[in-house]
Amino acid sequence: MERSNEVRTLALLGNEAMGRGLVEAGCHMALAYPGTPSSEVLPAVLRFAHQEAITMHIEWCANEKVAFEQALSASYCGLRTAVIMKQVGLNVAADPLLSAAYIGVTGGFVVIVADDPGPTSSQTEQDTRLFAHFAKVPVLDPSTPDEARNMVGIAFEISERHQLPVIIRSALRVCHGRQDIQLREPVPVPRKANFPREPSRWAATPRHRFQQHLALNRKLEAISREMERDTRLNHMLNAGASPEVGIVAGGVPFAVLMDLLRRHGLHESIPILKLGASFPFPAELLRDFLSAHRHILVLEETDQLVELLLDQRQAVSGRHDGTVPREGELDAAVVGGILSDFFLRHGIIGEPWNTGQEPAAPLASLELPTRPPTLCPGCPHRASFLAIRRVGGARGIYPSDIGCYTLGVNMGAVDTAHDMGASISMAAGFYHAHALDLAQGTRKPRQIPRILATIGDSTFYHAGLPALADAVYSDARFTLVILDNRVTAMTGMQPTLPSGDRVSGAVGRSISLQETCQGLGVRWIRTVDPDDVSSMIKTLRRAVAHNQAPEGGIAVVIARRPCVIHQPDSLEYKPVKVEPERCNLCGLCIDYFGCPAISAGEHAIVIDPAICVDCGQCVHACARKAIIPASDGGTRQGATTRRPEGRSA
Amino acid sequence: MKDSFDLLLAGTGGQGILLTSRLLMGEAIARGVPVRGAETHGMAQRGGSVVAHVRFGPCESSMVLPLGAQLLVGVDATEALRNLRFLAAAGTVLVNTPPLAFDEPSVMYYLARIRAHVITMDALELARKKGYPRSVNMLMLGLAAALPQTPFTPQGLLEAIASEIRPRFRESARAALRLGATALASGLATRHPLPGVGADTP
Repeated sequence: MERSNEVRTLALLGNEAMGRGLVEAGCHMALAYPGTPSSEVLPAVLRFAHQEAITMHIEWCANEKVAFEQALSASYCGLRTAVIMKQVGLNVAADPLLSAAYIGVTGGFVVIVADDPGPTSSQTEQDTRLFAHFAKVPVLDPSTPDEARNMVGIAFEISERHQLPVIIRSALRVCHGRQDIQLREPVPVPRKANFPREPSRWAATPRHRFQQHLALNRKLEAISREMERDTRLNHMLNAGASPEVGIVAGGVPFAVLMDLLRRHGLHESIPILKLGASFPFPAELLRDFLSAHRHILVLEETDQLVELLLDQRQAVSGRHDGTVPREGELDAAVVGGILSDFFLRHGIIGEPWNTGQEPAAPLASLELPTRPPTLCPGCPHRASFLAIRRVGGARGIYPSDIGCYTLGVNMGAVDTAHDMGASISMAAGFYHAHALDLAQGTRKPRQIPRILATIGDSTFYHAGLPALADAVYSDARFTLVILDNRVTAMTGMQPTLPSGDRVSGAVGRSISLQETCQGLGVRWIRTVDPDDVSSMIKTLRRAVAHNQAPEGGIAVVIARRPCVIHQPDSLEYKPVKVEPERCNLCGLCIDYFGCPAISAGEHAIVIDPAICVDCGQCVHACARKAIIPASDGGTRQGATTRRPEGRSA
Repeated sequence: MKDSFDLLLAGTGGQGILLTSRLLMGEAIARGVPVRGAETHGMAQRGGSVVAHVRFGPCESSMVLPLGAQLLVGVDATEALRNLRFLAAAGTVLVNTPPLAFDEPSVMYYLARIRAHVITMDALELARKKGYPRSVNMLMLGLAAALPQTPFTPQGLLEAIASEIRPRFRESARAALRLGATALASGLATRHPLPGVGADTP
């Protein structure tokens, strides 16, 4: 027998490693909605499936619920399926998840959810392990990219053995950590879709749901017993090394813990229970570990799960007694401080550790420039917000949504950014709240604030449609600006439904925003180019007039211009120049318009030609005509080489 | 002989920080050395802070510990200052800066306190002069590779360029890497003695 000794090793992101894991485990279908820090999984699935010449169904879906339900029914047919999302995406898919636990699955069904302790790019720090506990499905918690890859196969195994969805909760530092990964051969799992019709199971009535709940609890007990013994997931390190202290750790804090112990030479002397699967809870394992050590420290992210499930906590330090902070990321500085205190208290060390906090204190007095996120130079959203704010004025109400355009807050044109699709329902709520005053005679129609809501094209299809239908139905009066840049820009340029592009490169059906809004009952719809700021302002004024007219209603303005990063060649060349004598350094263009290319010079503003992309928007940002079109007849100096994300060698 | 080596690359979006870290990791894999790393950036766009952690040898976490980086490569001087807390005692910081931009009293005090070594190079000016203004990262990387304590060599990185960098940037990347590797010897980069720190090589 000849075996190839050639092992392919690649430095993969944790997300790419999980994508590789899906392909290696014979997954047939992978669906996702993009969201940081989960977005790199699906493209990796596509890449590895392509390299290995494996046929899969891979797609970005309209939202996480849609992705979950599509993958679920494919699992009913016996296929191995996966659905990938960020942690708040699971809120959107919560409804199908809870039912899926009761009804169960047939083919392996894995849900990869990326948590964001910190948070660095999310609304909340929610802990998906608690969600799994609530939904009654098993959850795995990797500490490294390679472990995350390996857990994909284990998750499929558990899912098929117990016919349950299994969640892999991967946190930011695993998702965006990189590690050398030895690629393994994909294991072919030949399956032919076969839906076993069984309405009493798939369409169970409440009486059957009770039986299913009973069965679910038995499954969880069985899995819990497996978790006690499955050393691939839960295992002891340095067992018996010290009766004084023991540490229970999982996920990213486990990796940080091991590095800190190694630094201080304690990596072979502190007993550790590593939990790769904290639910279903391996209660026996915990009970034994607790009884073998006088003092226990629990390090888990992002919230308390292990601590809550322990039946007695007198000897346990963690979040419940304030030893571990209840918010924020458990990075090495935080964990180092916790360990130093814990070891000092229990006589493991004699002197506190140098965790780097004390010597670095003088550095805190350095006033380093902060680099707050801003819209890119030439971003069409900046032009849209310029027009929106001008029409809505200081008294306007600006509900917005989740996307790059949340940065419109810097321009005074975003008041709320709550959750996907909320711009539209909140605009309706703002209107109805003020309209109540009309009925009571405490406000005249003209005194209702102008409400101008903004939503991106991807977010609109994610969760905006029911909200808009409802707003039309209830005769809410506001202007909805759909910022149609043809791409999900913030999460890394994934295609949107209106673009019609599919992840595989195939051309799908482009969904028309205009027709969608018409179909939902909107009677006033206009499409504008936001870079033509003057005509967008005119259109928005008419839209607001339509909102206020007795026979009027909701107005939709589709602001259509491609993302300047995604399609830099779409930018029209409109160079500008500064008339220094007209500039009084009022700061309007710097503080409010906020293009990174503009800064204050000594007597007038200056435009940095290395950052400027010649979009010409800023002409409209100056009240004193100090920025004017430059008719030098020149050509653009290679806008493609000035892509903000950078492509340098 | 150290069995592990941690370094941090600090810069801003558009400077090629992540590409530089991938080049280092590709080179380590070619040598058969275990390697991990992390990419940290906010809502990424041009000008935002970007930090890449690269860890050679045995370790568990993807991120360097505070006081853990034997080498801090500041492709941007401000970002180097922002990440000084990661620099290990007696570690070396390379800064892309005109000389003396690093001489804030609190910085000097801190660097002396941890017995750090500072090497500066005006890499942007140098890269502009040489006609590859976007290869500042490669100049800094070459400077790093030529130091005796780093586990990678200019030669190894030159070989890794073919698999990690797109064809049209390869020539300028190689040229910048070679120039950076000779910068200390030729006086293009300067080693700064700090109060209380010997001028000896780390």
